[in-house]
Amino acid sequence: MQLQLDEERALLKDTVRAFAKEQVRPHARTWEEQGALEGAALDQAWQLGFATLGIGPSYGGAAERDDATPSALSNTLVLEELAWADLGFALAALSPLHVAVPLALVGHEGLKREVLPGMLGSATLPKATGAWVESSRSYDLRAMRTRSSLTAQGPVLSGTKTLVPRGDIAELTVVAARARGDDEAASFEPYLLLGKNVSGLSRGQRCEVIGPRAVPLVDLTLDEANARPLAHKAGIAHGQLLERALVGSAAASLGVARAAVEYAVDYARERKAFGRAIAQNQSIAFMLAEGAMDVEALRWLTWKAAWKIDRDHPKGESALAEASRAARFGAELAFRVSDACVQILGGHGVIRDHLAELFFRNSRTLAATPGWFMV
Amino acid sequence: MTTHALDFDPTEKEANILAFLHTFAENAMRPASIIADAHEHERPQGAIEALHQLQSGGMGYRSGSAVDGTGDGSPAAKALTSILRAEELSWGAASILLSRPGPGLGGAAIQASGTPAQKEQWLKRYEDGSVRFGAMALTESNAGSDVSAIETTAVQDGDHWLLNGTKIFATNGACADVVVVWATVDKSKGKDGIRAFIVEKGTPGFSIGRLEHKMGIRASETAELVFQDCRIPRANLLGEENPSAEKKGFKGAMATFDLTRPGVAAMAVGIARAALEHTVQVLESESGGFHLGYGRSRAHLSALQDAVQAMDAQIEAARLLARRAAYLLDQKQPNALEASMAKAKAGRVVVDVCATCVELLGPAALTRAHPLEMWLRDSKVFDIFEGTGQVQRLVIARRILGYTSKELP
Repeated sequence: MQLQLDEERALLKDTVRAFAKEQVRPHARTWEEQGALEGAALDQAWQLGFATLGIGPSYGGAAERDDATPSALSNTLVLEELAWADLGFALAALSPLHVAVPLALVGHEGLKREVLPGMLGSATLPKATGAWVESSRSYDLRAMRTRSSLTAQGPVLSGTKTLVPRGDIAELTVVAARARGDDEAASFEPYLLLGKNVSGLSRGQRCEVIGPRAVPLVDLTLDEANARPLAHKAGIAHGQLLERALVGSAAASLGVARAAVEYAVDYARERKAFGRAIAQNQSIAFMLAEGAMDVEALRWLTWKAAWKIDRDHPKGESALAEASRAARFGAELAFRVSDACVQILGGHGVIRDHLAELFFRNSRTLAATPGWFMV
Repeated sequence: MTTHALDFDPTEKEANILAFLHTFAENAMRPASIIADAHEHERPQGAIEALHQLQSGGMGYRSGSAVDGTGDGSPAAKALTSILRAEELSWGAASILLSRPGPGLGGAAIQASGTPAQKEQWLKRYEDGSVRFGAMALTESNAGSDVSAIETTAVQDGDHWLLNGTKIFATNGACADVVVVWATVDKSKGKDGIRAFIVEKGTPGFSIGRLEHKMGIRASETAELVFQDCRIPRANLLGEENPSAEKKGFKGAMATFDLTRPGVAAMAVGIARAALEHTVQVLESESGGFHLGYGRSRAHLSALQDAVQAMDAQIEAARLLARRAAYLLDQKQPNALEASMAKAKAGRVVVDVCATCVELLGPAALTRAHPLEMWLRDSKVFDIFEGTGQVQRLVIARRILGYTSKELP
């Protein structure tokens, strides 16, 4: 048993953390107010190269071997740090993983060669994303309503996806859809929409959301939209992508939760009331202790699930229990500590000068959006 | 930092031992704990003897000597190994595990703060093959979490110390060969005046008072220890006579807890796991069956599935915190923060899980038809002993805020 990151991953985490702290966090409020991220910062994040880590050289990746697969654990570390800085930035900066990860894992060989080198070789953040979320109350990853059906020209997709990050400009979009006639099975297949103008695809208005607002989140309506099957064989992608999406959600929750606890700790040490720092009151101190404890727990739940994916998926085994636990614990925790953060800031907590209200709004999205993040 | 990759699995050898311990816990511990629960103050001798055999064979949980690797002669007998076993055995019966032979909490204190000569003199006897116990006497009726309130006094008299006072809640206190007693040598110094002393059973002036009648963990002996002009050799002061600041008094007691809190957390996890497993088995056996529904959104889950999933995640959270705290200990890294997190989390989780399981199985779960009501009674003390949940939160809060105990009292 080894409950400590290896050197290489610890270094990766530190690198992303430094970037997130210096290049992302200071602008989070401005970007949120403007409703737009800064392209240069996104490109800079892309140039750090973490999307190419687990992808072989023939496909334009940085891995040593072509049979390499993206590490859920490495991606989890990157996501935590970016989500700590700004959830909207994390959504945008990591949107290419929606294409890179499934293609590298289960992709059709021809499609991999057609898509990956161009995308990974891009000097700027590729216009690539994933369309998973649907607006149904009962949406989850095992209950897609978007359908695929087979025509002479290949598969077509019908349905509506919502909250698609960078869906307004995406030229490569992975869409999860259920195969027609497959009503009972809790499964989906990944498809790829290739190009900006796909027949049958219409892009809706930008969604007005509780958070995050810096990244464009749009509806995609699919009316017999032309798509390519992503996987080299039907039925092989579902379990892996489901679990990676759940761990992605957990990692994003971990980043937001840690941010909220740290923000509250800093404020509570500075803010004086009745002649002392408010953190010197046990009622405040215990909220912070509780939050820090559960953030630590979530870190290990998330890392364990990611580790199990990396180890067991190649053997055809599942990490569903671990991934589910982490996602569930994470979504609940992120909101609970963000709420506590606002509470500890008192009136300042609801003013947009502080990030607390942003954590509160952002954290509430995480339970409802499985599929937003792919590790 | 390490080049080894993250790994959450025990070694194959350890996994085999854990599987063996599971069978042991199921057969030798759980039935005995149910009998002992109904017959308080009758020691479950058969189970205790069996645990002793197990430990002699190198497969036990020994919080005292296991922490430095000397426990069972194997280099793997580290804190992490130890707590994996503690969870498994507590899945069978935490109350009996608390009665395991060995140097106990007193031994852990000697291990943490004792001189090499003291370790040799007082811990060696636990490896002679006989069933022996050790105990720690810290709590008094007016001093629990606040060690500075200790009223038991130690007065130097030539080459001896004279102890006077009454200790309560000493686990295995009546059967222990060796007891580590915390007393003040100078009341005016508060917690800086606290020292620990080693007292041997049979020392004149040392007697056993009442055995407590408890809500739970009834298989575990909880004794009152009375010291009346109890005279012990000067060399029985635990540690150096003039110790360095970090080994002194209260800090010595705290060093003990850095070692033992992950173990207590693992025991709590064992009970919680037992309760949830039992509950899920009952649900599965009912008409219509039961499945956990992993990966579904809450809109798709029944209230039962939702509750079971929540408990399952909380138990795993507590388990991982305990393992991480033990891992740091083995790596000789500071773990006070993580040990308190593990203890605080597990202490709360075990009570919540047992209470929810009792609720889910309805009226029958209030009776001895199920072991759940016993586990609920057993669980509560895990949020109290070896530092209450509140004390753990204080420790955590001070660490994350960078406060001293004066700044955050």
